[in-house]
Amino acid sequence: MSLYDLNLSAIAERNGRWHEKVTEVEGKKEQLPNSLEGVESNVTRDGNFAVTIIVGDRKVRLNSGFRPMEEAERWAKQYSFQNVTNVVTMFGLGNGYFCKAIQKKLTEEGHFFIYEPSPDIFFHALEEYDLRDLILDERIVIGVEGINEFDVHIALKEALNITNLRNHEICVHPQYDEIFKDSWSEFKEDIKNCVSHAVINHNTMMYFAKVSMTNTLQNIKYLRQCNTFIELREVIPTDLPVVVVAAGPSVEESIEGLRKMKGKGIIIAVDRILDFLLDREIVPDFVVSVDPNKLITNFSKRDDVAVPLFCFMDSKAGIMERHKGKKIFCNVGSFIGEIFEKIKGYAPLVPTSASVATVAFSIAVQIGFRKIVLVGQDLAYSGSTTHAGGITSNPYSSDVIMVEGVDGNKVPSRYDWQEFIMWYEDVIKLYPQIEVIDTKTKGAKIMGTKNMSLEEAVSIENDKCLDVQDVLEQIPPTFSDAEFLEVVEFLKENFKILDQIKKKAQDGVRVCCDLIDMTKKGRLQSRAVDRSLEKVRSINEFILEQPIYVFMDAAVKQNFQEKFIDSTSLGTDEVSNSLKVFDTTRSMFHAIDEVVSELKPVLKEAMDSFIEE
Amino acid sequence: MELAKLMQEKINIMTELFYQQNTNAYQYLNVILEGLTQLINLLVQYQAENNEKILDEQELLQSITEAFTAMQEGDNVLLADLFSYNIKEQLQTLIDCENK
Repeated sequence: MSLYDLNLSAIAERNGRWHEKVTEVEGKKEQLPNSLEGVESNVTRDGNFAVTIIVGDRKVRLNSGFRPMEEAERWAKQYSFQNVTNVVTMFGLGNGYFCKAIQKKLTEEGHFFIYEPSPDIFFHALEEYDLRDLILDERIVIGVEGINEFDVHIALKEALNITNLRNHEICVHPQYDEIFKDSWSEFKEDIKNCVSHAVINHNTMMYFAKVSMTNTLQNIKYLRQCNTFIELREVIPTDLPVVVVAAGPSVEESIEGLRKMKGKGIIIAVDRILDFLLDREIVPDFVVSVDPNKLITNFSKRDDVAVPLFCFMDSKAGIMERHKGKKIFCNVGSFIGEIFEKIKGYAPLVPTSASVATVAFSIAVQIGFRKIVLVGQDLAYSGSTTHAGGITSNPYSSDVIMVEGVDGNKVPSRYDWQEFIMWYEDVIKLYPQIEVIDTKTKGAKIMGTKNMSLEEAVSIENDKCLDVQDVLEQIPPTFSDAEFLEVVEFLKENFKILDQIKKKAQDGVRVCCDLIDMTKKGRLQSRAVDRSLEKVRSINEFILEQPIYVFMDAAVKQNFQEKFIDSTSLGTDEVSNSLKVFDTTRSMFHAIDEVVSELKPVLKEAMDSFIEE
Repeated sequence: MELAKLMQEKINIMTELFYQQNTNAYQYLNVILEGLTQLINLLVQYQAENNEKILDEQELLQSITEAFTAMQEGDNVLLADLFSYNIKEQLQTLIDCENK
């Protein structure tokens, strides 16, 4: 078997889709980006090989012509990955020597993302070098421009979070930043966006941590009569177009179109635009409200809204109370998800994202619609206006950035909107079978969408007339009476577990204090310390395996977030590292104790009202 | 031949810095060039006084010229390689001679 076949088999073993993409482009390499005039490998003085590429009329050697392996090892010395959660991104795979030098230094839990801008070099490396160690390593994701670069983008976005941002190292294969300047700029921009995404995610999680927990408990009472979006898959005709109405100023252009299309397609409106539509006598088929902190007035000033509501378990409790119609849960979180899994064998988990409109879009994707039409998803200022009805609202930042508009000109936008644009573009790439239409005539361009008016997007459809309310009435509630009793039992059990968690956390604080004391007295290497560490491990294990703890986790982290983030970066001194870890663990146990105290009365009240219901 | 040993150490550091694309390598290159000039002068003087050929200074100069050509062509890895293998080896010959 040739090296090429061995490498290709490894790619197939690691990731079938990657293999498909590689074989797809094999015959049309000339269409791929960053093409080179030539790539060759020559024997070096020590009997290894060095890659030389021809760029224009210039020959560039990518490795030492003397001892390339040693060069790679010495190059890698500049990086030290002593933290547990290192994330390394590398621009350039080359012949794999430099990447293998990094791989050797990676911790077991580390992540390593390699971006190769040149398919020519990649194919040459597959033919001439054994890359199987890199390909098959689960910690490593390799993306090649023009083939599967998106894999690196998605994996990096998933891997980066607030705990590893400080330990994120960006490496460049020698010569690559000079030769592939444009790709390097784009890759750096992508990394920057992934970092911003991680920061936004963290800030959102911290901002919502406690309110999300209390909303969830207060919303438990709606489980009795609820449905989930999963049940809708069976009854809603997904061959109809679905129109997601966001709250941007351009909604005003589509009012007539929305009025005419009622029954010809499904209208899902975000909470912010509900009153605007109802005031114009357009009743959407569904409304979406997922923000745990949403102002009730931004949902509706009316107190008789019965439009079916797509919601999350932690949607604002006041809005859930005010809304009188059918509640359809799309994400129940991990704690309530546990009981769904146990009773129904599934849990509704539409991914959360930073905007109600992107959640509405995700719901449409998850239900299975094949044609999604965006209305009012401007993601740009219209003058100084941000929302339909001439409203200006700028809660995040006053910094204006320019992005590409649907008309090809630059338009003023915001960082949070830019994040949503990137989100749409990623999801559209992930679901190529879904046709996404953007109806606005001005505003930010979303790559991957077709731009046309609402009338054009929906008029070609058949003459079906669907009454969503009728369809929903035919679906029984998710939980039967017998299943409902199981939910009650689940909550009662978890109420008892809270007491046990509290006691364990208090024990944990005491043990950590002892550990700090012993370390300061120079007794780090002692049997007493070993015994205490064992106690901490067993307390941790007990707490972490309780489903209700996962639910409390964000609120716990919110209580000790500074120390938590700091604890992910350790130095080289064992004693100060140990003191840092023990102190962080003590703070964590203390935070758990506090959160349990806050949680218990809310859970008690929620259980009482649930049982009463 | 303390100077030769010192040059070898500096070459090690410089090589690593060039491999790491670290521009501090140039500072070491300056120091090394000064040291090598001094060393060649001493060598020429010693060989003339003792009528003994322990190292061909032209060969050493040739290696330094090659390294400079690599630098002019922007190939810092080759520059480092030439110092790290050819020039360092010639310095080792000097050190070995003295030990004998």
